[in-house]
Amino acid sequence: MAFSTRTQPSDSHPAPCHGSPPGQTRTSRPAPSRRQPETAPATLVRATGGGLALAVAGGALLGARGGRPSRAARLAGLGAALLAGSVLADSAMEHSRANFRERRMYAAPLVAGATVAAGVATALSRASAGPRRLVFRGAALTGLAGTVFHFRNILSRPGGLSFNNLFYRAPFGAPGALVLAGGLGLGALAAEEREPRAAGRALGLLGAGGLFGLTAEVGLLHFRGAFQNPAMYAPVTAVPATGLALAAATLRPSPARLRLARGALALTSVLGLVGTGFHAYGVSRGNGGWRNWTQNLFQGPPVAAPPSLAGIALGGFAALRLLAPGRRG
Amino acid sequence: MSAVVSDAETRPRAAEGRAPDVFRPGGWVPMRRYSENEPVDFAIVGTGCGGSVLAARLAEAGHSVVAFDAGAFYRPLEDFASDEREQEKLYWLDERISGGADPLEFGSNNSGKAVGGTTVHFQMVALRWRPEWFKARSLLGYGHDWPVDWREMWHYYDLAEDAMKIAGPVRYPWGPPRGRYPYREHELSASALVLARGCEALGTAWAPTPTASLSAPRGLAHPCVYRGFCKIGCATNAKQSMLVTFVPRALAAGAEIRDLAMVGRIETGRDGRVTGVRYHRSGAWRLQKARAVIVAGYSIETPRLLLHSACPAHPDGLANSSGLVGTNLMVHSNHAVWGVMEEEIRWYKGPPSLAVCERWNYDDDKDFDGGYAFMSQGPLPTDFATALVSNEGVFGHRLRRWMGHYNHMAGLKIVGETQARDENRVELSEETDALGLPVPKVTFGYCDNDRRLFTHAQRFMRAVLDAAGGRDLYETADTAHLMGGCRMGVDPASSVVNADGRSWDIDNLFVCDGSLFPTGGGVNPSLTIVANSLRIAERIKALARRGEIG
Ligand SMILES: Cc1cc2nc3c(=O)[nH]c(=O)nc-3n(C[C@H](O)[C@H](O)[C@H](O)COP(=O)(O)OP(=O)(O)OC[C@H]3O[C@@H](n4cnc5c(N)ncnc54)[C@H](O)[C@@H]3O)c2cc1C
Ligand code: SF4
Repeated sequence: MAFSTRTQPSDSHPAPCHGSPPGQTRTSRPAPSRRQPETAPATLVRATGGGLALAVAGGALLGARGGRPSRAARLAGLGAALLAGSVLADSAMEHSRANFRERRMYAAPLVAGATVAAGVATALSRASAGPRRLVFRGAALTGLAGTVFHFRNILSRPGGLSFNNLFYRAPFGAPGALVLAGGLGLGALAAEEREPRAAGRALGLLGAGGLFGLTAEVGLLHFRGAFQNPAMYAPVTAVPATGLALAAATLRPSPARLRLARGALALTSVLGLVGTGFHAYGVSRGNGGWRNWTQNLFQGPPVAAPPSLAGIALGGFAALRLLAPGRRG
Repeated sequence: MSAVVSDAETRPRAAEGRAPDVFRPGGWVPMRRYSENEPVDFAIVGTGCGGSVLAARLAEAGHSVVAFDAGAFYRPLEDFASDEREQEKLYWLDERISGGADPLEFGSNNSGKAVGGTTVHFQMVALRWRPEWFKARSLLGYGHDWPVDWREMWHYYDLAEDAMKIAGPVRYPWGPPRGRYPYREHELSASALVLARGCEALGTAWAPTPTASLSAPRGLAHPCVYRGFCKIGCATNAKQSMLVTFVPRALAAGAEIRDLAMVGRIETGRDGRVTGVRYHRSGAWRLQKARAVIVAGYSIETPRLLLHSACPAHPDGLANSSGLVGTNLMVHSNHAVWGVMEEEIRWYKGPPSLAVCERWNYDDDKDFDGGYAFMSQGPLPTDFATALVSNEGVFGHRLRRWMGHYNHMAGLKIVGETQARDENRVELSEETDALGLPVPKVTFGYCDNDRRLFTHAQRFMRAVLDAAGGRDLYETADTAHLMGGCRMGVDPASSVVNADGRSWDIDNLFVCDGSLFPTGGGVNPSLTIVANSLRIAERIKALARRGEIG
């Protein structure tokens, strides 16, 4: 470094230094760790897209035979598929970013893929409920286990349960989406098999719980983003309000409440779609915009997250159908 | 690596009614132009934390303002390279003679030369002062009192933090409660985690550092990409330097900025009041008339200009009836402890100081006056190698071996308060620079209290780094930041300017920059300079409203 400073002679030495330089005690260079993801972003996006397409196609194939399910089952099945699709894309990207450091990190996208297929199949046909139930249960269990792993990850850093760790470590709410997907799938099956009110009640409460959980997750992450765009307030107000409306309609399904909940759910589904657009815009605001997508897709807001709102909303619609007096599915 | 092709340093860019748009490659924004012969309300020397803030606030209040900077007007998106050598263009490397018992090194560590000032290459740590420090003499028994109440400063800290969208923790463990930082804290880097781990092992509090780098988008500025080139200029505009905050605001409000314009003299009339500034631009000396002049060139250049502007009415230099101009220059001692970690750290990633411990600013059970904060570190390779060479004197194969550990290194460094002393000062030497201006001569030496402070710090940081798993620990000494040189105060005999930054001697001459600090405090200075400038802007506006300036 070029300093143009000239130092006048002085009788003291600058910069006293003590201690042993590392170069004297260590001779070998420690091996570099492999923290960089091995999969190129383009490959990853292709693999994720391919996986999703495969899961949907598989589901369609499985659902090709068998009787047509009730409307409620169709809605809940689709909701499960949409939620699981969002988990698949999100977890594939995020776990790849962590280089699938632990084997169990593969579980999330794989189980989510199976859940997409099972969800699509359930929306299309009533056949082979047994294996589908297994998949949905597996999804719920994987989600629960994931929640535990994510919390362990959060707590393992200095600061423990701190905002820094909640913001930036494994997202505590993400595996919950898989629990919900499994739950919606099971609800779809129940809609065919159980008394409609009981199935509707289960689905309604599950949906409302999901909406509240999502509010917590979105609230935390939008808080992390300092609500820098006023649109970021939309989900944290609309989603819990929808949760309340759905819970209210579930607990006492009066026509007025059902109408209100239906309206709120419609709004939430729209928000899920619009939110995807907003997140895409958010990606464009990173350095280099979409041209630099290989970084900004990871750094920016998750494009795959908002559709999960629509997924839960579909489950909610299913619940309302089952709860509506005089209706069967 | 190739240098960036830019004409910023050779040709004034802010001219002919337009100035660079810092947010768009090749872009321009319109700029108001003022005649040199019609006195403007304010001529401001310097566009750093002092100058640009005043330019913006005074122009926003409807005043005519021209701000001068000796440095270039960069567009970070296209003018900044990821290359340490190239980016030396941001440092003030004009000749300075440095002497005393502990001579200072100038350039990368303490002064910048660009529109936006030193903040263009600062490291973005944005800490508030401990309230008691504003009354250090009365409450803590050392240094001098500031002529300002801490509560007033805290109000202006709020405004400064909002203007720079400081990304800070939700809860800050030290000092009185503060409002929410405008943006959220950044993710801790691996080097910040070393500090956190060490502090937790010793049962000492630590915090994510409030940082002037965006953790979310802001207008056309992008959020941080964590590449860690902060010290040599941020090429994404995530860094909230004055160049991307107050300078665009000043332009939008109708201030004119003249880049590559070195002010050599403040002109005075026969009555001893200032009448304008003489400045050098595009190869010629020119004169801008002004009703008032505000000097904001930082702790070396501000005293230099005041001393050099001596005239028959002020034979010892402007604002210098107390004889204090240039005295009580302070730095922060920047002593550090370094070590090798087993795991890979890659400390260059992200803003360099994302974790901080302010324990010894708030804990008074210690054997020295003042305080220090210490932070995690992330020097770029050349910077680190330079520190190794100058501190340890290693070269060749040994240097190579040391640098082989670069990705496994971690370090802790203090920002340590040094005492304000008359003998640490800026004077004019007999020598002149290329423009014929006298070269400043800077004398600096530590006192015993300073030494006790950094000895304490190194002992403590050693324990922290050791507890975090650091091995082969070693220590280095350095300084950072400049403060003082034109102390503000309540008494014309013991200060250069009053609480408004107004010279006791000349009522239309103001100083507003880091040189006003009566004491240095144990945290990085720029947030306090910005807050103080916002405060002074309100005072000057009030004076002007009452017609008391001229
Ligand atoms: C490497 C580095 C890291 C730092 N990190 C931090 C940090 O993390 N946090 C923090 O708070 N502080 C930090 N600082 C310190 C901080 O940047 C300065 O304290 C602050 O910018 C000083 O503001 P100022 O307005 O007093 O002066 P400056 O910002 O230096 O502005 C003075 C301006 O005046 C111009 N000028 C001077 N004389 C003349 C003249 N005669 N004519 C025309 N123009 C002139 C100069 O070109 C310069 O642009 C850092 C500094 C350095 C060097
Ligand atoms: S790490 Fe962030 S603030 Fe620093 S230079 Fe890079 S983008 Fe700018």
